[in-house]
Amino acid sequence: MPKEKRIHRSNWFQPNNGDAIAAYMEKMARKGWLLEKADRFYTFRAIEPAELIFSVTYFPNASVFDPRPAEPQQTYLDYCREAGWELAASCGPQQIFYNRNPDPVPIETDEARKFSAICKSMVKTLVLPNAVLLACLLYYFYLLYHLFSIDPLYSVCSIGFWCLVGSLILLLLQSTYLLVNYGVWYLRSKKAIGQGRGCVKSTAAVSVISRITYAFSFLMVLFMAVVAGQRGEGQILTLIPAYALFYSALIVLLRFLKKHGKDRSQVKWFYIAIGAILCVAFYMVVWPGLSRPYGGDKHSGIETQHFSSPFGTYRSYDDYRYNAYWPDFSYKVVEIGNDKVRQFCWEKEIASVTARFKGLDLTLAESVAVEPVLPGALKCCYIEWGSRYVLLYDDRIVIICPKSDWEIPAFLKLMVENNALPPSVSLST
Amino acid sequence: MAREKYQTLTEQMFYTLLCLSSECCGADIMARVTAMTEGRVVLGPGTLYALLDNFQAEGFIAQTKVEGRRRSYALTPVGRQMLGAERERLQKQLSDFDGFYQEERHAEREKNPSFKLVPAQ
Repeated sequence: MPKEKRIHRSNWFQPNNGDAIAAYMEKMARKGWLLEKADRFYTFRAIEPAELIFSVTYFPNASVFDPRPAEPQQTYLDYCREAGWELAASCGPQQIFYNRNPDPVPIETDEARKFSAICKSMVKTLVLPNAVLLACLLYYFYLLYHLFSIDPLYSVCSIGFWCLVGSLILLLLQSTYLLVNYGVWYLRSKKAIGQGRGCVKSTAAVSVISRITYAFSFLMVLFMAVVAGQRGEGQILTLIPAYALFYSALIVLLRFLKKHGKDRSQVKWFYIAIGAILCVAFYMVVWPGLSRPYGGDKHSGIETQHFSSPFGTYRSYDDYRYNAYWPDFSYKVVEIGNDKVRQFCWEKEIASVTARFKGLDLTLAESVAVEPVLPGALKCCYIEWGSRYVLLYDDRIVIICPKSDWEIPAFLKLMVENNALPPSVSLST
Repeated sequence: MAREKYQTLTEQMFYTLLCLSSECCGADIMARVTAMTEGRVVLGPGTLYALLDNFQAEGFIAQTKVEGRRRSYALTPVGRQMLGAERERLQKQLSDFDGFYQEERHAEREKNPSFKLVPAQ
């Protein structure tokens, strides 16, 4: 027997977008594709092109973890079958039916009950998950701001940091949009029901906006990856297939558990347990492994870190020569092209280091302007307790951290005289 | 109160309860309602499921027979009382309506003997 032809399409629809989903399924049936499976993707099997009528309803007690419809849902499906409605696929509480009769009895003939069923289902599938996601995102933003405040130069130059910020902003917009869109639909439908009319019809516009958001998100990640690749951080490109693989693994896992699971609770708990292990493995091992900054040794074996973002390039060096006449020191050279960003980072860096040591009630944490300024530098600042000498140039910020008791002016003089730093990052312009 | 929402019944509730005056399989109710009302009242399967579920939870109907997945139901005494109360309410409405128009009719006939009152549709 020849294998049935199948195609897969992404599910861009918002869960309460039943009318738009039904219209899309009818269009696919006219093209010869009947819906067979629905989750994050729709699976269609080939049929003779047909004029089928689709209807999307909501059964609040159903769950995405149900391996098969439970007894009450079976009764519901039997009633629908009696009226000519065959279940094409279901996705949690959302049930997608089709009918071959061109003028069938609608599944829901009481708009108030239909509204109530949609609302109950949406609380589980849309409102709660997105509210939790929003709360997590806001907390994550707080953590990122904290990270930025501690080490602004590192953050500004890290492609991983900006990828994360961009992804989180998109997620935040997407999630807020879903909630607001549902809220508007809820209020308008509630008013309409109160006036004796039906639920407000949802249009395909929502799915178009979802597509735009996802496409924008994909382009942004691609842009970041290409920039990273150009700057010698090509390994970050591997994060894209890694993430796709991780996401697919979760979908395949749920499908597998639903096929072989006994009941809802078994599928649910296995999914949560295995999903959590996959999450930990991905975010604790794969992600840091792939997004780790490059640690090369381009300059006489003393470069320790080198990475970049569209905003700047960060290089850090250690200099140990085990010589009584030569001080141990480390330094960072952070090239930032944009004047405003550079000025901002300079102020943030000084404020950050000063604040860190002020927390210990050490008056020595005050930053002090140092004279004379080295040739080429615009501003120099010494943070005594932090032992940092911060120099602002017209294209970069240089931070020098002596690790011994050398007097700062003598230390700097020695370095310049001996041409201590690699030519590409020399202290004078 | 749980029963407050049933103080007046929608047509779909009324005919569903009426069908269950005698034992009836859930799935057959849709066809019965359509036949009983000559297609005037249409009961969708989703609405029927929700109604039966709620009626059973409120104790208006009880499951009487299970054959495979086919379940039959019938009115309980509480349900019968409920349906009776609805019938009385509707009858009262009808007699109020008739009484109102009878008075109007008398008044108009006294003025105009050829008057025929037809209520606005």
